Amino acid sequence: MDIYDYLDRVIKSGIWRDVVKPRLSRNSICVLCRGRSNLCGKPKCPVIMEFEAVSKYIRSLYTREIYGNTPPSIFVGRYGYPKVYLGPLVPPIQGDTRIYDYPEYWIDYSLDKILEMRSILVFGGKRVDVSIAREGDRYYQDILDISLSILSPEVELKLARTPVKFIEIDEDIIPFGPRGPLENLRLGTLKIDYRVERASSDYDLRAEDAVWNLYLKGIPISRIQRVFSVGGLGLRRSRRIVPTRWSITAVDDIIGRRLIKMVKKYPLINDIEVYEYNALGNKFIAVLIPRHWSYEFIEAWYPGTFWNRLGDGIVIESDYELYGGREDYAEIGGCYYASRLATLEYLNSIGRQATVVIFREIYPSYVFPVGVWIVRESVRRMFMGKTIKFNNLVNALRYVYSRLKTPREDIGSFLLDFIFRQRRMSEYV
Amino acid sequence: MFSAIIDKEKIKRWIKIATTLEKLTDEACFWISPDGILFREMDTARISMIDMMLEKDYFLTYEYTFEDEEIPICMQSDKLLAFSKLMKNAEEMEFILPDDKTHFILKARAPYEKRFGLPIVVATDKTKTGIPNLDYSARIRLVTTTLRDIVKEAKTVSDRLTLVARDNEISFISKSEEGFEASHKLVYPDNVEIVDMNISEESIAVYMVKPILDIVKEIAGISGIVKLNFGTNQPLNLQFEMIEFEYYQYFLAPRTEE
Repeated sequence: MDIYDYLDRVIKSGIWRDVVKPRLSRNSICVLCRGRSNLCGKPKCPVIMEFEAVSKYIRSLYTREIYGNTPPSIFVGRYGYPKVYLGPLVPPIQGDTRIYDYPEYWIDYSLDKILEMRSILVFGGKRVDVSIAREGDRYYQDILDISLSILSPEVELKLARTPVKFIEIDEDIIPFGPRGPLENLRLGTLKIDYRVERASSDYDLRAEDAVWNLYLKGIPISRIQRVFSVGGLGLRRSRRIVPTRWSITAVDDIIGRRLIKMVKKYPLINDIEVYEYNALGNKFIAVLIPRHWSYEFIEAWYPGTFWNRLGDGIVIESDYELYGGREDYAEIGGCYYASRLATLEYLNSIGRQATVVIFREIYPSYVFPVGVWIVRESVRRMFMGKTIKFNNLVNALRYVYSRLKTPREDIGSFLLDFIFRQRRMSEYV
Repeated sequence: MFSAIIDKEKIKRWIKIATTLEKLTDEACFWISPDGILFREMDTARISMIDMMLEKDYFLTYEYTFEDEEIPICMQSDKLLAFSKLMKNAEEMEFILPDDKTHFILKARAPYEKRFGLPIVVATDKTKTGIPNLDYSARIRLVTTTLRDIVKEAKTVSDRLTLVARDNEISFISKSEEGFEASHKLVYPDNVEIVDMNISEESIAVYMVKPILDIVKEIAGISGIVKLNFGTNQPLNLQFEMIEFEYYQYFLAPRTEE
């Protein structure tokens, strides 16, 4: 039983085996299933989905020379840190491609559409030391310029060999096109976002302050993350390239911490508020309680989802912070910070503070993990929606649990437990 | 006006105290009077409380010329701590509240003069928080660093800490929902870490670990012995034995389990 046999069934005629490589372990459930039995419990086979997305563009993608307009998009790998792969993501199409790396606008798209957009972005990368951001050679300067661009600049990628599409089944992988080692990069005309460029050329401005200033100027989070990731912000001596994955969480955390300081100064909300939103096989429910700022994010991964592929039961994870904040990194990861940012944005917009518990249920129909942005944008969208108000927490929770599929007894919320069980000193004074 | 000066050693102690105040609250409110400086506030969630007093004789010089019996002033606690830390190498530090009461000033005299001003809110309608008057069934005097180490180790297991006192022993038990457990038992007089123990009845109470650790890890550096008082489902009271004219106690409300 060879994994290539499986892929051969999927691959249409004229597709080269060398350009599509599965990265599946030999005892992977995917090898046993081969997309026929849906052993993972998903309604669609993610391997076939990803392969179909790639196969539409197979001829234009699998060439050593890619010419197109980058959205702009940059990727920084994390393997081999501090020597990491750095390079642009370029689709083989000309014109305005900004939407290909603009997750703020993807929330209404289907998984297929997102997969299709991401799959035609070819990554041409060079291995560089993260400290290159301090000195900066010609290649680094080109990458930095791309990250500062406000439109989609023309890019010509010359790769050392034909790019390869790795099909990986991993919860952390954002759908991604083929990749290859970069030989040469040529950039067309650029239109730089002067606001970002000003922050980038200020070598006396700390990265945290730069991120916050850009956020206040209305620069989308994805663009701030891009320039942060290529080490384009911060004090000269401290600049370094940051792997894309880490930079996303870092930016969400930096902005979140500043927003917390503002939100803590606001009065409490008046009623208990409940919000709900569904997106791409995810259900989000928020409960806002009229108490001082504290926050909890609870995720329930259903059997057949990426975090719980072979499990029989629901896997529940949670993390929280009380008014004083956290001292360590939330184990639950980037979703915690993305959701916290969106929640704080809402509280800041209404000038109120609250204790907030966010529930997220992930169903098998969330076939592919598409990145942390889905949490941020879903929570943002959720707070734009209708609210249901309660004047009693017990009733509010009764409603919330009726909307969740997860049994009430399985959801262990630290904050709700804290509210119900922790007594107050004012009772004794 | 108000002016009070402390020496180098007490600056270091003050920084430790200010750190705990900063952890407790965003806005630190003090009562300044001819008798000294008092801080008595609950945290934002109102689950814990610090009662701290620096008496008049604690200071090298103490001057209070306002007509009011006492003046409540509030300021940003993070800035108070940040400015205090900038004074750590000074030979002397002076607290000043000028007649116009617009700023609370921290001033270092030596090796050179520097001053930091904090905008203050004169809270005229502010009322002083009362002190809980409780009859504790378990009273234990123990070494502060021992308590710090126990709480620190308990935190690696759970957010909650159960205190059980009976006969001549006290146990600190932490259990996580995942099944991890830790327990520390101190027996009087076998364990020298216990200086004194007075348990009138079996006492059990559950508390959050982090708020205790926030306080104990700072104050353990400036207090050798702590009186730990509690009772079944009663607040925890930590009375730290400080140097002369310095007074510090901490309260934490219990959790009700089942």
